[in-house]
Amino acid sequence: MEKKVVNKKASDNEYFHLDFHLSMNMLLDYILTNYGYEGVVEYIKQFTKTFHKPLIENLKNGSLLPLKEYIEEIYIREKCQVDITYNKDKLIFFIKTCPGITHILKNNQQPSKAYVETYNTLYKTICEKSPFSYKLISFNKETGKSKHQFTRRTI
Amino acid sequence: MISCTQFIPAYSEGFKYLEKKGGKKQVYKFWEELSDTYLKDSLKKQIEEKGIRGCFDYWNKALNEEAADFTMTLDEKEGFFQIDMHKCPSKGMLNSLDYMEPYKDYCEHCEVLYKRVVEPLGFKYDIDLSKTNNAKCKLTINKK
Repeated sequence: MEKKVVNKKASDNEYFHLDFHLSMNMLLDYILTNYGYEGVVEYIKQFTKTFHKPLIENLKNGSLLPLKEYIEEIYIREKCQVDITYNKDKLIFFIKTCPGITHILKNNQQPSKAYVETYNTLYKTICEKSPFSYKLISFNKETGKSKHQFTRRTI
Repeated sequence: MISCTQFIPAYSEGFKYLEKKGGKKQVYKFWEELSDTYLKDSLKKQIEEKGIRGCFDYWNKALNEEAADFTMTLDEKEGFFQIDMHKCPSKGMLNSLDYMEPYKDYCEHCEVLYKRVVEPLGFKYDIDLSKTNNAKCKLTINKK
């Protein structure tokens, strides 16, 4: 029979709770079951327009640099390698595995059938009012291995 | 991908989406389903195996990974467990994103998710959500 008191400060730890990928996957599946595939797309559009408002505004300035920095940052935080090729008119990024899908599978769960929309709808929505367009070049549903392209729209 | 570091705003927007589509009852329904599935192999299993110590082990992992600012107390003899949350990382993050509005009842999910697991296992679950505007709360679990 033990008595324990633990005191922790936010600065004692890194903010990195991988199990949030599981909860995210369950939220996607719940929306998919109750409101269909279009419901998931609608939800991700809502989330993106709200949460990514600063990035969306930055992209309107015509530079892909804020997007490059954003992509680098999230994969560093997820401890996952990302390969980026970038110039002023085009950005391509490639990942060998998706950290979200990897964690979901590691916990004996299946990625939502709509998981791909966390890339496809999310990046299309980010680009919607910018001078750039997004194309999902390839996506492996089992691993998340994928290639993504952003290009400057031609007038 | 929605990064695990972006999950909290995604979760908050998810609650807003569900409420817009099906009212508050749809949000509750999701929380109940999440509790029954997500916590089945984690919190529930740990309490079944270790009693009230399971609460300590579950939250010790989760709150450290979430970089929370907290005091956690376990007294196995008295059947008492408490989390005094000085700064909740989730509500703290939502409060810091001044360009977006958090779901109005965001913190209620903690009540629904955990109470549903803990109470059928012979414990009384209480949570004081009166200071969540400052990202503070107090969760107490006592053996019945």
